[in-house]
Amino acid sequence: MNIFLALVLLFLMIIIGGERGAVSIMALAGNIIVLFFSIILMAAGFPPLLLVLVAGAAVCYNSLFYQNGNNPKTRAAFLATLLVMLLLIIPIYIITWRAESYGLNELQISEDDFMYYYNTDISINMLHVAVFVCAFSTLGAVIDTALSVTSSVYEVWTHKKELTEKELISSGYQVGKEIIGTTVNTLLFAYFGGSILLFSYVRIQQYNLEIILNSRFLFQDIAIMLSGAIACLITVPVSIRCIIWQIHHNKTEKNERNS
Amino acid sequence: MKSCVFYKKYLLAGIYIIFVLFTCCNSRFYHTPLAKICSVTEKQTLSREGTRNSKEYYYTQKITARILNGAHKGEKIMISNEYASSQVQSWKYHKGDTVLLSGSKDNPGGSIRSVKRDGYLAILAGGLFCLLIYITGKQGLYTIISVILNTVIFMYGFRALSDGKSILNICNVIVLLFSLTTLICLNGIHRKTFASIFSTLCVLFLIMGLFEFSIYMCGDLDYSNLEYLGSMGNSADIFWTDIMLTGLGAIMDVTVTISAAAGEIVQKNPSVSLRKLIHSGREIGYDIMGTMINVLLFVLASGMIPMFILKMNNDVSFITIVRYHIPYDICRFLIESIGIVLAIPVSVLIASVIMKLPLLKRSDKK
Repeated sequence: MNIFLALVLLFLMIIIGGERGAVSIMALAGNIIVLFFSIILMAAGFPPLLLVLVAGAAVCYNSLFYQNGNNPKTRAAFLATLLVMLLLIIPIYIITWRAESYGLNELQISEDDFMYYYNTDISINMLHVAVFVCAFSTLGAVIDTALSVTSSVYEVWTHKKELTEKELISSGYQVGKEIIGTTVNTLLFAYFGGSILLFSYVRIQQYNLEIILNSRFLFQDIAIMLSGAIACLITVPVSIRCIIWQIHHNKTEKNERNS
Repeated sequence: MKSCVFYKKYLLAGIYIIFVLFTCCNSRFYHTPLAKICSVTEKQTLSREGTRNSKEYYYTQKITARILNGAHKGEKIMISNEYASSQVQSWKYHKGDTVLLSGSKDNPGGSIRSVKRDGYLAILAGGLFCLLIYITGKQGLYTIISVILNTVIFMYGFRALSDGKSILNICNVIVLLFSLTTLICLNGIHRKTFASIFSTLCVLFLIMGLFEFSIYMCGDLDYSNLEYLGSMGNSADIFWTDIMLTGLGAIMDVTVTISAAAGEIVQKNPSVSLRKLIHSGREIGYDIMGTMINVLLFVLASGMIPMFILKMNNDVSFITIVRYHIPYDICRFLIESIGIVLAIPVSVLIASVIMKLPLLKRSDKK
């Protein structure tokens, strides 16, 4: 069934997207390969905190430069994404560590598989894995936001080169406003969809509200969703700065060449 | 005027800080006994051979904690805790952690149930709300309203679901409500809003039809490996709801972008031809298709990484996990991606037609 659906997806992407659809498919495949190798390496004991930087940069490179070409827009978006990720890794680490939201959650522990079949002495620090998971799940949304902001600011600038920095910034915020609302809701619904089974299970177990509010199973997923939304929000000002820096950079380069 | 805005921002930050502080010291309202860890001493007790021939160390912690509520408030208790160095299912506690104890208020019991996490939830949620208002202003407020409304609708729908009413009916109703509230909150009541609502519903109808068709063609998935299945009998129905909801946000995202752009074009150049409108809608669609699918890929795939790592260290191969343990997640991802791709032509068509309807145009001019 999945093979059938995958074929339908590929077919539709090529029919509807044409050549760019094919490029999107390649970029998607690239990202899946990066994910695959990250999992293999982590399972073999490679330190996740190091891997998040390497794999994150690889995903950025792949989604931005491969899919959209090398130009000031993608360079600024690349820079913005890396900055936001570096900025957020530390708070993510602190919250995951203090809230102990790593490892298996209460419901998974009580499942038979983990009680009897699996050996959990894996010598991999689950805290680091959890930081990797949190950072990686925000990555797609951050790249999306950064690219939308940088490309629209750049587009505005190419049409009206006499605009001041202040006007460019405000046009960037305008775009940011428009996309953030739907991005937050995208993350919210992805969480809702995935957690229906979890909630039905919790309902059967009849936990009280205090236990649910403080539980790992709730916090793990909600923290990922909320930090994703926060990351997207922070991306807006950061990527505006980056694209303006790129524009200035281009200007000075051109002036030097002319003189 | 400017000082008023500044004043509001300080007020907001103040509310945020008070809110976080409140959740950090709300122990008196708890019915579960709470304790704050005052000191921890730990000792390595044994080391065992783990998977991949590496060493796994076990530690025992002696914890002194002060009880924060109930009849024994202020008393100190001793707790012992054992954890393994990878912390998969046993955890290390730190000085300063507030923890929930396993007993009742009168008899706190001698073991830790979990860390108190509501403060961290408040930090994240409050931080998100504050940033939304700081960065996006009024639009942020509407976003917050839509998030809260959606959560309320989800809770009501979920309650109705578990009361055993017909899943199909509830699903249709809540999906309709979700798209109405989200899109109206974010875009206001406008013709392009109706275009995007209409196209979202059409796309949902198409992908659910495709899902049914693929079940009919290739046979149903085997739901027995689904996580958190418990004693649920109607797993197929729940998975159906799951698929319908997961991609709703992403599909709405695409339809909103395209309808907004179509609206913009019609506004700037009311005499634009239908064919030209469809052409520029498609151009925008190409730009967002790839990145939206990537957003979904990372959101859905990263959550499964810990499970992969654990299972692969227990001699379950990558291929086996993909084939037998996560076909639902793959199926969900594929269906939602198809939804995103389909949303492009559907919303381009619907938005162009609705924007160009001469009847509505006249009422706009008034």
